Amino acid sequence: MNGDAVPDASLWLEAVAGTESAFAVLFDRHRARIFRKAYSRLRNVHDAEDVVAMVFLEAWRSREKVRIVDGSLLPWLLSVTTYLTLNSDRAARRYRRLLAKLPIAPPADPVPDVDNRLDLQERANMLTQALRRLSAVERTVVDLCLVEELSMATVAGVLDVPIGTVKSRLNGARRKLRTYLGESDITVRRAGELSSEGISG
Amino acid sequence: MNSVEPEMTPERTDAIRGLLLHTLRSEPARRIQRQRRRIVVSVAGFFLVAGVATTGATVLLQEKSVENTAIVHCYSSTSADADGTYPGSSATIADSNGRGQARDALTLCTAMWEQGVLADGFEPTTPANEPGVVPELQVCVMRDGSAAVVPGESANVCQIVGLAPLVG
Repeated sequence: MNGDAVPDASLWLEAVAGTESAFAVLFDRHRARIFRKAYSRLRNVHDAEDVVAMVFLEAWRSREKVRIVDGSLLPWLLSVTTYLTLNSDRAARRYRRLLAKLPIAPPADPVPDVDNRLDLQERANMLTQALRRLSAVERTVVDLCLVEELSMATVAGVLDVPIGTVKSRLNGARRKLRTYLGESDITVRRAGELSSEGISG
Repeated sequence: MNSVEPEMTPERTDAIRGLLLHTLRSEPARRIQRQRRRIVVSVAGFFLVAGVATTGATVLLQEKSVENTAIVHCYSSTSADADGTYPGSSATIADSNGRGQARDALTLCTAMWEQGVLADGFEPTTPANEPGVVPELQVCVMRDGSAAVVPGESANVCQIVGLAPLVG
């Protein structure tokens, strides 16, 4: 079956009505992006895969609250990913019984550039700690605006707040992150990866 | 520098997909079990509550305004399913200004009808669905204040499905 041409909104309505194939299409459409985002924060394939599962389980559990912005489910899924990667222990407790049914991931292949991997891991940990000190709304705004490069209007749609609120929360979060991360500011290296190096507006 | 990012493993991807679909499958079963329990209670108490129900219906049919714009219910039929529920879909859609479009329930459900989502035989994963035919639609109000758009030629259809007509 090919659901590429069917918009998220239609698929989601069908999924909520209990159509499994519609939910499967949405899962396959967005799982890679969710995984990349989770991996960029957790640096662990197994844990990132668990987050992918939890994001979609959470979407189903909270299906009456799901927000489709500009026809796409992805911004909402990304906001949930942000929350789950920063609160993975709490979320894993909720879904522990379900996650236990998943097969154990095979050992990861050796990474040639160990130094680089450790550097990325350290940077991810540092940013995760800094983001945890922000409020939930600030974390989501930073993640969606700076990391995912979604427009402020889209983020406003996900959070159901005015654009001005997104803008002010983003500015406030930037100021806090500057303080938490020392002299460096945050910038976007590429989609899905936040960096504490360099300066950006 | 190794720039190759890992991907989801095929084995666990399939397992997660299977887990999600199993969760969907098991949910209606649980809902039906709950509804069956409700039916048993309703039959047992029917004669006792009949008088009260008449009064309740009078209250239910009074015109109301939409106060809950968080969600819109789009009915696809005024014929109840075997479990007593009405077929259709619910949606919460946000626009680019961050405000819910749910307040414009009629527009939203009309779009769903136009896309064929609410038509019989709609296959969500097939791009070749026929455009839908939009019937006459009426806006009714659920008990929680949310809008329900029901196919019908007059506002009386709200009363038929047990909902309050929209004010005005």
